[in-house]
Amino acid sequence: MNGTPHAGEGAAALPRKKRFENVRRAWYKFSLSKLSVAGLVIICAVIFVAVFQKWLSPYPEHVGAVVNFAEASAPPSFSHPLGTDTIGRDILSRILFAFRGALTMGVGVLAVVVPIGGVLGLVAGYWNNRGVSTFIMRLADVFLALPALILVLCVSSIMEPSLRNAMLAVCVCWWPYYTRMLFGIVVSIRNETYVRSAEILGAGYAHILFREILPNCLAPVFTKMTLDMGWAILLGATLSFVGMGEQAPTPSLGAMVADGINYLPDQWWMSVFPASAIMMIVLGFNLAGDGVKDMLSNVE
Amino acid sequence: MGISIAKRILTYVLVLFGLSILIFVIARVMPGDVARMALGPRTPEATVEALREEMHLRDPIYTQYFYWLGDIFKGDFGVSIISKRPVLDDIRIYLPATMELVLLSAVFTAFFGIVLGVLSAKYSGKWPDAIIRIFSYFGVVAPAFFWAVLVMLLFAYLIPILPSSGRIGPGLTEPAHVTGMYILDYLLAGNTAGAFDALKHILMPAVVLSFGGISQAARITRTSMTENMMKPYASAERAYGIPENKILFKYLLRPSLNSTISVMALDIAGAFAGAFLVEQIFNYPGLSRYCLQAMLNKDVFAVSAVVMVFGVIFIVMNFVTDIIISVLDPRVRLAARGEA
Repeated sequence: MNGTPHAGEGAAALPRKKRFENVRRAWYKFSLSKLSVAGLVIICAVIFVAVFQKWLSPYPEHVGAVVNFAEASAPPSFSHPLGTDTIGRDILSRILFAFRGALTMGVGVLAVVVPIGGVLGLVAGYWNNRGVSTFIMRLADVFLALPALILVLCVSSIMEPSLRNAMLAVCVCWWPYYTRMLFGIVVSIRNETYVRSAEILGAGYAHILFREILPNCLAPVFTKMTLDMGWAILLGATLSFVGMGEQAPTPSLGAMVADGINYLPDQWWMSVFPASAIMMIVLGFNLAGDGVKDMLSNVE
Repeated sequence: MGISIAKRILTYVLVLFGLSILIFVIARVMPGDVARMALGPRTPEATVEALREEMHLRDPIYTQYFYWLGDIFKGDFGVSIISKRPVLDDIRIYLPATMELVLLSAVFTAFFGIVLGVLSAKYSGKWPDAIIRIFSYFGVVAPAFFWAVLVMLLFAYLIPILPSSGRIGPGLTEPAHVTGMYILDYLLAGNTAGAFDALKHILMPAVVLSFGGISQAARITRTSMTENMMKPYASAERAYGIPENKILFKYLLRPSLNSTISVMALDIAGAFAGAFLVEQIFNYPGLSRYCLQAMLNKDVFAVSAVVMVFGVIFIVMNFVTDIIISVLDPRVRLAARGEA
């Protein structure tokens, strides 16, 4: 079953030139707000750093369990722009290396949660008022009964702390948000003429769900996905902050903040810079998310 | 209206029931021998076996669930593995602390969120609006620990006027237990110095906890206020020469608050989750910190009980919000009267 939202689906039928025209128009709408462009720049920078971390970071060897007591707890300077931690590792290098884990978190969570939550929402919305729908939506209600953070902490506390398990825990708790969202949209469009026509023409359920209904639900899903990248990364950082994420010596932003807080105020750079890095990533995805919303809305 | 409320309560009870199953399953998947962990490695096997028998750990999992649920209805949440006390006693100690924190941050959220939102709408497009909007953007995206680090650095170290951890200063004794909220208990005992000290301790965590909520509330209030300012009745009021501030706060605010309140209620309930981090950072002995410690130490009974308590609080909050909104919105209120 192909449940992954597919960007090209609606545009695939259009001639090539028209398709390019759509991209150009979309970019125009997106770039109307300078803030969205700023968000996109931040995201690109983070991805760039995550890919080329080895060459960009000044001390790539500091990513591991290196000890360098000669320069321990050094404040920001030319050789260490963001200072060093208690055992002398360069904080800038560790932050740059932590970006890859953060992005993995966001991408991994969305790759699991969107298809699963989305298909459940499609099914529940299409067969609304049937047993399946009631079951799925009540199940979603149960998962939504608690703030996501509490449930995520609860689930990840029963597993060994690692990046993979942190992702798993977030996935377990995040699918209902997409289910509820798609459910709402599908219920509102399932009686539109084009859906009815497809039914009358004898189209299969897969065709109706994925070719007729799904393409018309995608705009808000894309907006939410952009925003959720930021939130998933933040949740991952929160998990590693309380010690349920990636384990030392692999650098992770949340754990760096947690360690650094013990050395406030004198060694402020140990917590302030990693915390700012997290904020910057979330900010980037939020700004870009607003842009995506503008881009996909029909209002000029 | 009576029927719709009853229906809603039934749904909430069902959700709560589902939640109890979910929590139970999560807690029982926890690897390890619960009875052995509770008693420690040195206890003889026979004693551990007796405890297993007593905790029904040898029964099938669905039987265990019903034992657990039955115990909860009897008010028996089990014994915490860390504190060795009944979990219910721990909840009695720690819940008021978290309640005090969340209530104070709710007050901040409601007050500053609405005031900033109205000011932002009033000076729409001018510099106060720009400042408030930038602040509220950062309030939404920056995680609680970012603000915690910043506020702590500022008010505990650079300008050392606020203590950075705990609930009361070292020289003070705990107030007599009435509500469990220290500020209130000190005031009831007539100890204003104590109340002031408790307030100083709670101020920073409460402020940090409320940043997200304030930002959301300000953004939403601004949006609906600016929308309502365009409406003809606002122009009519201006034409009558009613002072601008009176129009804003008396006539425009109330119809603008509906969406603010529903979002604010979610944010305030979400503060119980935010408290997991904030209490940890500020070393504030509340229920969220207790729950986090229990999770980190795989304290099955404490985790399942406390999470259940949070679930009940969250669901009750949802219910109360629904009612407040229907009471505030005259259309809903009048429709209900017409029905009855």
